[in-house]
Amino acid sequence: MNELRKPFLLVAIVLIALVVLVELGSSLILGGAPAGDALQDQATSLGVELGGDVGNVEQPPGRAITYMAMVDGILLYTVLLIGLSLIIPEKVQARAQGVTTLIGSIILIIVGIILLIIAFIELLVMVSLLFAVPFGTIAYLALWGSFPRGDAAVLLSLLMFLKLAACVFLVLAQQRFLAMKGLVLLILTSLVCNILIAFLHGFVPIIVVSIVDDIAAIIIAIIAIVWAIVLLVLSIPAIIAMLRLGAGTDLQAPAPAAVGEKLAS
Amino acid sequence: MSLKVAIVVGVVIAVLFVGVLALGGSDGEGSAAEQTEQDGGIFGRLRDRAGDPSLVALDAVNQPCAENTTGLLEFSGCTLTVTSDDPGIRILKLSPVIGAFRVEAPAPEGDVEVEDEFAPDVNDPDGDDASVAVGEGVTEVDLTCLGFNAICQAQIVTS
Repeated sequence: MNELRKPFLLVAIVLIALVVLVELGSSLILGGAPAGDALQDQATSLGVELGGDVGNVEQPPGRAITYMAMVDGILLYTVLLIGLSLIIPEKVQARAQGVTTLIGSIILIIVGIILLIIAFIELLVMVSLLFAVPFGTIAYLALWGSFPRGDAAVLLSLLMFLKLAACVFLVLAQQRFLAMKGLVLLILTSLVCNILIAFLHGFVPIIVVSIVDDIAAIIIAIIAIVWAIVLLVLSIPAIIAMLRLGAGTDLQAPAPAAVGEKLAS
Repeated sequence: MSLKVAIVVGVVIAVLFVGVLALGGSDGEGSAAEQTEQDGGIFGRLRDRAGDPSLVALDAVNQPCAENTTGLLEFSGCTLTVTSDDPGIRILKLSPVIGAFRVEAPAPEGDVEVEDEFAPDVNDPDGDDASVAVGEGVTEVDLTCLGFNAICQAQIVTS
């Protein structure tokens, strides 16, 4: 009963890896459909005439789903650490984890801040354009005015299914995962991000969905940065312990507490 | 967390997600005219936070039809060239003084050309200013006075 069922854990890892891959590739799946007709209708409602090539106008891909890869990347890393503990000796793993977590969390914080700034600047540009009637409004509508809400809903449903399936397989692998508060919180964060994006996409008129998608991206970037800071803080004691034990050369010495275990628990 | 609690939480999340998807999307396409007229709400607050885009300075506008150095334009047809190094959006604001005119300009950051007509409003002098959004680089703004052989006047507003 207390034994870890490896095949189920492996399936859970694969499912979470799929989630991250789908999120990273979402900008290639979403958007790109022609949106010239919708732009023409909106221009008519604003009482302006359009020239130029309206046929080039396409649906935007959005940002929020791609940004969710940062949060789910942390989840994948945590579950991978649990999986690796089955293959790699505990002492080696504990030493490697401290360093990889420290480097990974610093990279994630930097990437998160850069993506946060990009999303924030884009949000300001969108709002400035939308309210600069009529020339700016038309520019906004041409670039961001016809968000592929239906396609995004399909993708979010797929992601939600994969995440819930991963949760089921994690519990099937070992019921004690439910006692790991960090892991449970991380999974809940990921699921709530999914619901947040679906909620924001669904409750505004389609022409402003790009703005709320950007707001969701900003919120998700902040959440990812907070989790990365948690990882960073948890990696420090492991590194200090590793340094005290002679820079990790003595593999017979007791292993410092693994970061993955700390994060999970 | 016990297995029962986990199952309940999982079901609640799944139901919440399905509910959000089912209830969402009811607002349809929406209208740009409605959205830009809203003062309150999240977008109004965002606009307040973002602030209005800066107006284009006089020296950034090449004015072949300038009547004087204060930005008063006199034209039957005229092409203004606006140069901006700013990556953000700036507004070229033209206040009609005499006659109705048509403005044609490319929308920033895209290939779309926009046309609109403006005329002086005796009841509200600030009412029907032409606000042309310009992005980074060079933007050509065509002004055409409406009416046969008509001459229009418009003032470039800088503050």
